[in-house]
Amino acid sequence: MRAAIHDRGIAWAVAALLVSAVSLQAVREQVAPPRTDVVPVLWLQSSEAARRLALSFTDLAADVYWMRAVVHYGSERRAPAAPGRYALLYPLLDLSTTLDPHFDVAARLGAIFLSEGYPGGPGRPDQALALLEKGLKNDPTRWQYRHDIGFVHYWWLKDYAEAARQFELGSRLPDAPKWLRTMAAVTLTKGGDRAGARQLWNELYTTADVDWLRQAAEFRLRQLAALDDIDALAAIVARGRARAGALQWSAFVRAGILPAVPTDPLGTPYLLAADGTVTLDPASPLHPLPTFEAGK
Amino acid sequence: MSLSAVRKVAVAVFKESVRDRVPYSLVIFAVILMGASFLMSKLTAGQDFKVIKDLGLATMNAMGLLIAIFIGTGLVSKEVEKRSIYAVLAKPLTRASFVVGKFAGLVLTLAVNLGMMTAAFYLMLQYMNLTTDDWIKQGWRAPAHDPRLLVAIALIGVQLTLTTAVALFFSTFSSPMLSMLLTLAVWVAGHFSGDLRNFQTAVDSPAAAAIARALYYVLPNLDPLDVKNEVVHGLPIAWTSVGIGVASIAAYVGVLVGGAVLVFNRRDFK
Repeated sequence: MRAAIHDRGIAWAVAALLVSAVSLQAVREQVAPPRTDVVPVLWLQSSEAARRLALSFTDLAADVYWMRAVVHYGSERRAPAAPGRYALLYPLLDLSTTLDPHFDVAARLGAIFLSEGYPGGPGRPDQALALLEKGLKNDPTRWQYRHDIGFVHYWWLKDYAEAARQFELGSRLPDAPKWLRTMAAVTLTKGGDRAGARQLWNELYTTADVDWLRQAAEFRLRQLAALDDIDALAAIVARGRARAGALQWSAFVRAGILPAVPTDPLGTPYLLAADGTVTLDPASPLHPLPTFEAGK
Repeated sequence: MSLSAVRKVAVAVFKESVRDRVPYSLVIFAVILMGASFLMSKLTAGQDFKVIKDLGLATMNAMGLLIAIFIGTGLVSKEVEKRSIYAVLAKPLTRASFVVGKFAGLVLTLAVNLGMMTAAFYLMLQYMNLTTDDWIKQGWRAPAHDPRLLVAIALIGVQLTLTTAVALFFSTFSSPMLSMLLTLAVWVAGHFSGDLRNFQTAVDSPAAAAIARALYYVLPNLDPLDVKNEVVHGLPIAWTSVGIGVASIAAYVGVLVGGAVLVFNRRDFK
């Protein structure tokens, strides 16, 4: 009986100490908050050294570096502009794809992250190509790498001849879809054309098997839709400015020319300048819009 | 050496491991898998299925390795330290039966553990299979219930059998701590064999290169038995290399258990 009371006392003391320890942690967090400007460090710089040190756990280590890359990209996108932004993105992706040479998503999605223009990404299509070439070296029969290399040449480097060549090479690989050969022809004839770009992103959207890839394609398709909207609205403004009486959307709505204030595909109203030009609001998530060759 | 004596010792080792709460590792395994599956989905940009497969196989490997090293190195030395060896040797039991039985008992423990972890692993994969959209599944390079996962798990079992034999061998003549370090060293060396083979590219000394090349052939090579990457990515397995690798590991296990019997037979416990 006495022993039971004694044990109960110890249990209560342990519980009380645990509560006080947690409370003290919370108090310390308030009184002396930890630094939030901690610079992320890449302890292992050599991917080959990492591969050796991981022993038989290379795949898991590759996953860890992939997750670090995703978190790094996400947090840097949200962070204010600063020198060295996205500095660890390529090394992390390089480590991940060396540790697991068949980790195709790390190479393919990583290439999208890397080629994205600043501030949405580091704007390094050269690094994106290096990552994809590395993936192709490890899996030479995967047409997806050729497709993505062609894509970087098409979209970011505007090298339509090389893009067409890559699509053509990809179309000869096992299990390549028929549309890849068509894409090669379209790229040659309609390189720099909005319709050609739409076709490319549409194919990527419908064939994507990774949610992020699909979201990226959807985002680009919305940007292209915004460009189409702007062209259509510019024509409406040119035709109806006399009838509306003022260069304001509200005047166009009142005159019955437009049913409502026009918005981009994500719901931000388009801007109508005093000279009648229609533009995307810089505050829109779709900003900045891609550019195409004049007249295309 | 009597087979029934070996079986009795093996069963005793298995029961002792259950008493030592070794099956708790299964609970840890299940918690790691389930906890990870929830966290991963937010951090992997759609690669949670691959990560869970990698994590499951790596955890089985790591758990098995810990059990093989921590229990294996104490198999004989603990009996000597506790002086229970005198009672054992007084029984109608040959020393060889005792050593082989200890080895078989730990291999049985590892096999049961791996089997149960495999069942939990497949349940987790089934859960992911049911909760994933069909269009995402199209991107999986291997199906959720890929039977080839069993090949990777069986080969983990082969590696653990070798690790157990190494631990047992060292356990017959050295302290548990030293045995642990030596067993771990052999396991690490088993995954560095590629570098030993190509050592001449890193050093100028032909003698050092020759020693490294000799070590490459003498030490067990565990790399050919590691097919986790091929299985997770749905790539072909180099069956010939795996087959020869398994045969060589079987030979090494024979050498180590035989060596352990020889050392134990010569030990004087007076």
